[in-house]
Amino acid sequence: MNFSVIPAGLVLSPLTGALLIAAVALNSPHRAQALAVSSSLVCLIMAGAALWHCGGGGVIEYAYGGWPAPFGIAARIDGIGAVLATLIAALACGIFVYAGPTLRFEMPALEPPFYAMALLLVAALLGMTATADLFNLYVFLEISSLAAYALIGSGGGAASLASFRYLLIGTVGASFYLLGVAYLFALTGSLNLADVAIALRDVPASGALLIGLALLTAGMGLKMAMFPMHGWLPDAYTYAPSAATALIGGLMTKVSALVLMRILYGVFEPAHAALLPPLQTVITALGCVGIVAGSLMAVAQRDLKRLLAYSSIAHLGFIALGIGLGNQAGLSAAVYHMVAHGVAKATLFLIAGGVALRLGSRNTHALAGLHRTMPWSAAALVVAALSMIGIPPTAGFFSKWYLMIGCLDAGRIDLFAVVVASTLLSAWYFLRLLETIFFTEPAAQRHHEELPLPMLGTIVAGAVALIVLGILNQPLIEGVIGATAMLATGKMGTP
Amino acid sequence: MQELLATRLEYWMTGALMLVGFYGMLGKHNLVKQFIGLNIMQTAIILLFISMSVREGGTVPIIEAGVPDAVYMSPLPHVLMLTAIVVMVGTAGVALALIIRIHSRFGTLEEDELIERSL
Repeated sequence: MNFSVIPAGLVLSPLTGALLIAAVALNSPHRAQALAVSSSLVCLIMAGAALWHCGGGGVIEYAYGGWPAPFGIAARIDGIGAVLATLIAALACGIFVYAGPTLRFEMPALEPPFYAMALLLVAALLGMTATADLFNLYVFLEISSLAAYALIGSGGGAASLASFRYLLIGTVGASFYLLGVAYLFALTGSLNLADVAIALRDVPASGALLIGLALLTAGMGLKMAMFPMHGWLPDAYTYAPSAATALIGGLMTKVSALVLMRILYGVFEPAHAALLPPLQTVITALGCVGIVAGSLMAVAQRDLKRLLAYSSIAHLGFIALGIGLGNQAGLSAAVYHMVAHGVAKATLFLIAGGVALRLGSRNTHALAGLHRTMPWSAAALVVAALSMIGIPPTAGFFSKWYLMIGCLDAGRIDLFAVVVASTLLSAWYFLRLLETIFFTEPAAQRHHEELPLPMLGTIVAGAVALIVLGILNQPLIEGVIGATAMLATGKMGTP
Repeated sequence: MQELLATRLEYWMTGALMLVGFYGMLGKHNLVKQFIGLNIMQTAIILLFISMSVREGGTVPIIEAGVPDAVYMSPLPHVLMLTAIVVMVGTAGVALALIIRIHSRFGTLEEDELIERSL
């Protein structure tokens, strides 16, 4: 089998799906859903093949139009990219299976456009994981953002306002990134990641280089909602349609974090390791403040989706902390946490969507007695909440575990303490959620009304995936460690 | 590069343009004005890229038989910015569509009134 087309195929498959929906399925929700599911399944198969191929440290490269890098635009997927691509394709697949009933409830008549937009988002995110070109990355970043603005804006209520604010902030983030690319391009004359990494060796450390690095970091920080650049996130997540929130909340911020990681440790570290420590200090500090502030804000929320949104800010803080630590364990924990948190948070948002569909409310008090009316959803919620808190054997425990090892490796007891304390904070709001479900008497007696099978299947699959990811953490983390080791030793810099 | 920043006027100009854009986004309360500020900021970045491609005494980068080699402008930033302008137009389209939706729902585009009405 020819693997080399995978980096291009990952983008083309959902893009074709989106165009096909626009062409032939705008009036037929079922056909649109079938197209969306099948094209994301194709992506999942390709991403799985890439993961299998790159797991042992392989790299798949594809040159668009046959032009070799650095002259042409190169697509390149490595171990970490394959992990993220598999996550994106799997979550998209599940969400497309799930989406039908909530879409008919939340945005009737807009079903087919939703699938088309969501596929565009998926195509762009996959493109970001599988590109080796700084400017190509910018274009994919903007495509994913534009699709996300449209998806968020299609929710009711204040959604259009939340989406517009996100558009302003998100475009500033992307502009910062583009400005940083301008600096790198001016200094090295290249846009290919590997080529830039090589060229940077001949560029002396200067103010311009530092400004470029800072701009790239700030841009990606805005996009990954790193504290204090998280202002856009809570409203956007709360007002977006449930299926869109699961897709955006589970994936978008993680892909930006991956880009930040690649730029810091794939491009800059091999040539200019001395520039990184001040930046790392800032990123770890912001990560810690984000963890604590996000958790504290989540405690104060009564709206289920808003609670989950603030908890996202806290968990993006964990990822930022891992990236800021910059050692083997820290980076591996960051990647593993992207997967663990992506699956857990998407599952929780999907449950929130199901609860809103059945109970007509997002208030946490409406969850009372959920284990009697929707037992399977309640069980899945418990598993996902345990993973968010970090209780074994769920995936969330192991990502926090490796993050703590990373803190100790770096000799930072203070950061270790923050991670432990944040576990208590997230236990506070998630256990209170569970208490409401199991021990509060519901206001009105309700019948057993579990969700329809496709929705329930996706939710339960998410919960099962969390346990499987937790139990299989040993081989997975070894693969991830191998992949990050490749990043950190600057393998990217060798042509 | 640092000397370049200190001596070349166009970088200061794009910097000033960018600050004007930021002022529009942060200092104005009308959503359309904020959007215009965003556009000005994006334009500043495009001008920065274009100004990087300039070579003194350079000419259009077309190689033709019979014409002696000359100094050429770098064509790459132009191509990149063509794409960036397309992205900018896409962003503008989505932003204006959202502004129309906000106006039809809340009846205003002033931020302080919007905050009151969206609560």
